[in-house]
Amino acid sequence: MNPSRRNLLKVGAMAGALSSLLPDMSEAAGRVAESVGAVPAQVQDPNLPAEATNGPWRKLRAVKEKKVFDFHTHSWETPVQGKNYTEEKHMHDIDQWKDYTPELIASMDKHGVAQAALSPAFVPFETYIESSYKNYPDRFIKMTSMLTNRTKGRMGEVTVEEATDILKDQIQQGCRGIGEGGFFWGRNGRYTVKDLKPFVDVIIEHDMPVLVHSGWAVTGIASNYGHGYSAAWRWAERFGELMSEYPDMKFVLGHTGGAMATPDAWEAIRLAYSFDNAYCEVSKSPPEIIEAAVGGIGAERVMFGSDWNRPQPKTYGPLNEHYVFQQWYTLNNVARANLTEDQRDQVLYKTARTLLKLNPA
Amino acid sequence: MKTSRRQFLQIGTTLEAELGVSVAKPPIPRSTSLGATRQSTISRPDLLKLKSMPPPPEAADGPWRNLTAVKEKKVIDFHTHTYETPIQGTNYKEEAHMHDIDQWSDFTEGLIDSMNRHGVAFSALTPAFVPYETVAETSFKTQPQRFIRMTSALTRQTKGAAEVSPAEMARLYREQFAAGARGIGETNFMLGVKGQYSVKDLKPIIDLVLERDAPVLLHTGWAVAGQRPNQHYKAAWRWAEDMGSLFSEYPEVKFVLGHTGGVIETPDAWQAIRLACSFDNTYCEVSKSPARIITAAVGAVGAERVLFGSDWNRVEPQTYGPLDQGYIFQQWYTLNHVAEADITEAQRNQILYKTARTLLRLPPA
Repeated sequence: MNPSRRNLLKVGAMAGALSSLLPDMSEAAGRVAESVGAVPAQVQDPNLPAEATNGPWRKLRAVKEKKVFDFHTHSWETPVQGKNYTEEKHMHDIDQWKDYTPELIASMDKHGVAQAALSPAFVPFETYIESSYKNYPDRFIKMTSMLTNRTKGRMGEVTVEEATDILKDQIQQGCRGIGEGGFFWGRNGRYTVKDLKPFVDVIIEHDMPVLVHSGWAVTGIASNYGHGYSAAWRWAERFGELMSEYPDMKFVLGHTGGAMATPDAWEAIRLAYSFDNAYCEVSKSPPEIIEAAVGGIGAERVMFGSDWNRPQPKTYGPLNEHYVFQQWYTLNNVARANLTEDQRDQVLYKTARTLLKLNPA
Repeated sequence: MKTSRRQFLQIGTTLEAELGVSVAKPPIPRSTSLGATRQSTISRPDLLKLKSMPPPPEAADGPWRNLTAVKEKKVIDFHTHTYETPIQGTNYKEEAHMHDIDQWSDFTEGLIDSMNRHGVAFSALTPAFVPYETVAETSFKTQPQRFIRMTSALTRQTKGAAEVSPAEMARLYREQFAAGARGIGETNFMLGVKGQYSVKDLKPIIDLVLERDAPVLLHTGWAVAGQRPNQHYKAAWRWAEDMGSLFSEYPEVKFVLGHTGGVIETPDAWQAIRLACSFDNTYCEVSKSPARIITAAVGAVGAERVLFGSDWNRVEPQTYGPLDQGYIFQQWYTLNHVAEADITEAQRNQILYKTARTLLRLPPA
């Protein structure tokens, strides 16, 4: 199977998590403190824009205190990127992946990120267990994935029952949330939203947040090149159907629609305003969208994420969006949003810690 | 029939008309997309406290006080209601429960008090949640000089009915017009309780509307109503296309876009502006609309096709839905946006009362 990013974003996945296995926040923060120091003035990297090293993110209280929680990260991607969508699709089709975990940890240390919820992508859940999760147990919160050794290459055959078994197994292994790519949608309209009830019942039983990709995505377009195109309203209605059917499931809108405020991000805001069970994860979100999310549903339902997946900027897609996956990018947008510092603290770590049932920082 | 707010907005309704009243600052630039208080520091648990907290400064001393129409007490509010739940929920689930209880309080006195404070002479009052007869025996009866009657398809006869056909709806409306109604009250269409009728099926209602030359107030856009299980979430383009098919089929009918898509500027409000730009027979009622949308409406279709409304329905701010939208149903809220819109004072006068008077065939103020 070539697990394209779009496939990853469409399939469900799961993995489980028990608090006894959970890293203690203060310990994690201590490790970050050692590595970050006191956020010293940085020498600007000539290959990066000025705001990467000296942007407003450096003044965020949560960054200075090294308490930031990144709800949306990945650590495996292609070794080489393409320069356009066609090339990038080819890179994904090769199905060779590189472990960028050390680089993610370096970015977290640099940006005051104590912990990150890590969603397996492109490689099976077991690969993440044996690499990222194993090597940095106190920095990563395990998130579930439907892509496993047993489902790779046969995702189209996975039933609700099998998906539910995978979910239960990953919960047993310590997952605390449904990762991006961890929710089981069923393939090709094989299942209705109602059919997913056994799967959703397990999620609700464990009170786990569900991170779902929402909105336009540069990588999704690349991976899906040649497979059609959908306007923004389609994903919004699909999510609305699911959120309406399962009002007790905590539904985290990954990216809150993404970097494009109109139409995608506003569709996400409209959804968030419509459902009590909606949360906004703001990776790539423009400041106006972060403000609208906090203003409408409260900072208690908004959280920071980056969608970090490789150290380099993207080399394909919109020219002005190559840096949107970097942690400093969304941190800057949180800093630029018209919020109080208390609201920023809530967004930057408190909401995620509450959702994942972690001890307060 | 248990009439949730959403159900109310989905079925048809109607009602009628008469008179009233008061009050000034430079426009506050507001370029936000939602037009609401931008830096909200309200949290969900604080929502209930909103009711006992003093309203924000712009409620008492906002730019609405400098509007000529307010000072001359000539404003007409084209969109009001007087019955709502006695108690609100703090989230959609709780609010849905409050509606399901099917108990309603009469807030007529509160509306009259608000009208007096904001220079509102008359309000077009659309019965909601309770049968038309209840509003006729209370609000319309006790304040005949202040309310213009609008129709409603929810009557003692239809309450609980599984369906109300267009022919039956037309018959009810005819009775209500005979009793003084001057317009079709807020409805999200008239396609039946279950939405099984086509636009063409509505001809009996349309014939009556044309005969009476009555405006039709339609709910448009996203509303603070929440979703219920088994209710499909619909993106903005769906209501826009539904409305467009109605406007296209009946070009002689004066359709009023209630809320002009509402407080969410993108996508809903711009869908409404697009619709208004597409049909000669549309009017924009701007309750909750951001100032930028009011400016766009006036710029596109002229102040003669734009009119003030509030969607007032209870004294207290809303305690559910988006945290920064608790006050959007208050009359001062939309009056402030009219004051902040980039339009002339003459255009404001047109919006604040002249357009409504013309639509409702009332003598000039």
